[in-house]
Amino acid sequence: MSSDVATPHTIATIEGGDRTAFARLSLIVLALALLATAIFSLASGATNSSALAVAWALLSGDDSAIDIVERIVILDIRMPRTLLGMMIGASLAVSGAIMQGLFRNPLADPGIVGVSAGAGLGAVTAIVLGGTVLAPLSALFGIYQIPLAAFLGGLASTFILYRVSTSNGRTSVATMLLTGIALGAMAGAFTGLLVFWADDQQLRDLTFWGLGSVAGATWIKVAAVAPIILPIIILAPIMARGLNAMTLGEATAQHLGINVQLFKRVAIVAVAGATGASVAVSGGIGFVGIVVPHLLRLFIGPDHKYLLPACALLGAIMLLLADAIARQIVAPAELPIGIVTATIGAPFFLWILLRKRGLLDM
Amino acid sequence: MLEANNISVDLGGKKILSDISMTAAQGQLTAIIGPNGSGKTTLMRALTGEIPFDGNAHLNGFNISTTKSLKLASMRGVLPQSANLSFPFTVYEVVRLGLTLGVQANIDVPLRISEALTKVGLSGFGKRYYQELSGGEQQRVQLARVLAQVWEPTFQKKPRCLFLDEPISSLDIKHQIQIMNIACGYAKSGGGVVAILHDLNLTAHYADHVILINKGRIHAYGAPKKVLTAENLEFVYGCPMSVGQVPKGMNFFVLPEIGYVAHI
Repeated sequence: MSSDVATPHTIATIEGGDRTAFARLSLIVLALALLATAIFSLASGATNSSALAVAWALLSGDDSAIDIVERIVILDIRMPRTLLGMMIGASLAVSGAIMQGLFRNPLADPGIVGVSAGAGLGAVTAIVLGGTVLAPLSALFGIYQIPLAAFLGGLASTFILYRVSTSNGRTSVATMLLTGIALGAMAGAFTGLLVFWADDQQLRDLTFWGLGSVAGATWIKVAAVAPIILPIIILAPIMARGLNAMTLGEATAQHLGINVQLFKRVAIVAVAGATGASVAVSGGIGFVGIVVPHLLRLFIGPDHKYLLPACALLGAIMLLLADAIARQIVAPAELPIGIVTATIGAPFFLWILLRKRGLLDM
Repeated sequence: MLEANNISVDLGGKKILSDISMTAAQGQLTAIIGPNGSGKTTLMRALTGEIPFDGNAHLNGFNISTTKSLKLASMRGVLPQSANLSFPFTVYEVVRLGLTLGVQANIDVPLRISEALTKVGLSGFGKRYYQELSGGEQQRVQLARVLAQVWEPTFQKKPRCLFLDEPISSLDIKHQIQIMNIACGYAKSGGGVVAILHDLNLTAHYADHVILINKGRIHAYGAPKKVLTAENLEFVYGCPMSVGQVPKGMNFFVLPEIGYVAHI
């Protein structure tokens, strides 16, 4: 350490501890890795195309190297699946990171604190009541009906969660987790009631929806959620200043010049939108929102300016990989992707708990 | 610089502050003192726009209740009593949080961060993790962050103000003096400082203006000599006091030579 007595006009060292350059480099590496994973995802499946042939066909527009069946499989089945997987992975990770920033806690995750359950209730309501009571609405919103309903469910639970667990600008972790349990149980009960009322066709829809999968990906699903997920992911870094300041607490964020009330509303809507959209098309896929942000904080630091885009990239990579595992492990059948993410994610969550038990006392 | 009139605060149906009117002037260190629970921190939270209150308060003519946070942030920095961080920021990144809000234009960020850390005696601490520091070091990192936010004591020819809530309560005597010197220097260079203090001796030496609060009301205010009398302090703190003499029943006492040591 240099001396406590500073001579005027000279500063001994420029301080270390700035991880910006490394974070930028990581974004480039992650972007390249996502590209490679996406090509791998397009190339792998029940019919085997060479990854290189697929890449060449996509990049050059010259698809003579792959036959017509391959072309259909890739364009109509794998392409929407890959795109949907990327969007869902990115939105799960980004909404996890925003939520953790908002609650100032690395354990806050839409899946754990009942937001996904709320969004799920919204989706199930739309599926079961969409043909009867809510028919006029479903005619009005078309393919956006389920994502919109899931968004509203997610919004309601995030709002309740924040109101109950935060007082005087401080969030109690214990209250947050307990509120999450209550919200999850409540949403589960209402979901059960709706399932009880559902007819056979609706039960089929519900079962496929609830498996937590991107297997049923279609271009229609891609079109239904892209207008919600993409703007949130792309605009999320605007919230970086606010999320960074919030790490010091609500009061200090306000002292630093953040309009805290407005910021909180924007963050809650963003979390609900991203969670709702991904729950609407993929059911519950757990733990991506907690594993990805945590890993990235270890490597590039918690500055949300880089954390949020990095989460989008790594979340997309992780979900594509999990989907690839789900497809390969019992091929030609497929595991629901939620099983894969939970198998990897749950032990990881326990590991965070073991390392950071002190956080629960906050 | 800072002018507050008839500030009253109710929290949960209980009256915490009643009719507080006070001023803090440019070039002065204004100390707020009083026993635990007298309402010092509540007063500071009102003056920084953190909680709603009855009455009115103006900083450089801007109404604190209605001015946008970003505008207030360009005029004043606030050091909280303690700050927990939930994520693993480095010291460098914590100080940078004071710089990322557009309050400062066209500055050399790494240089400013170095200057701020050097000023609080933590030069070379940039790459340490905030959570790994001692309580006193964390407190000084927070001060560096606040200083980085409002580095120049004046801005657009108006004084800036530092609000410090017990800035020295977790520090050893050397660093207490260091921080008080920084605060005084800020005031002497044209800014203003409002600090909640517990140490009456340091208050007596460093403060230009003292506000003594008791049970949510101002008991006395003015120059330290006028406020820090045995009569006032005994009444407010509820224990006998000796001012300016060896206390009865004591053989000796220990005080740092703050009037003599110009710079620590």
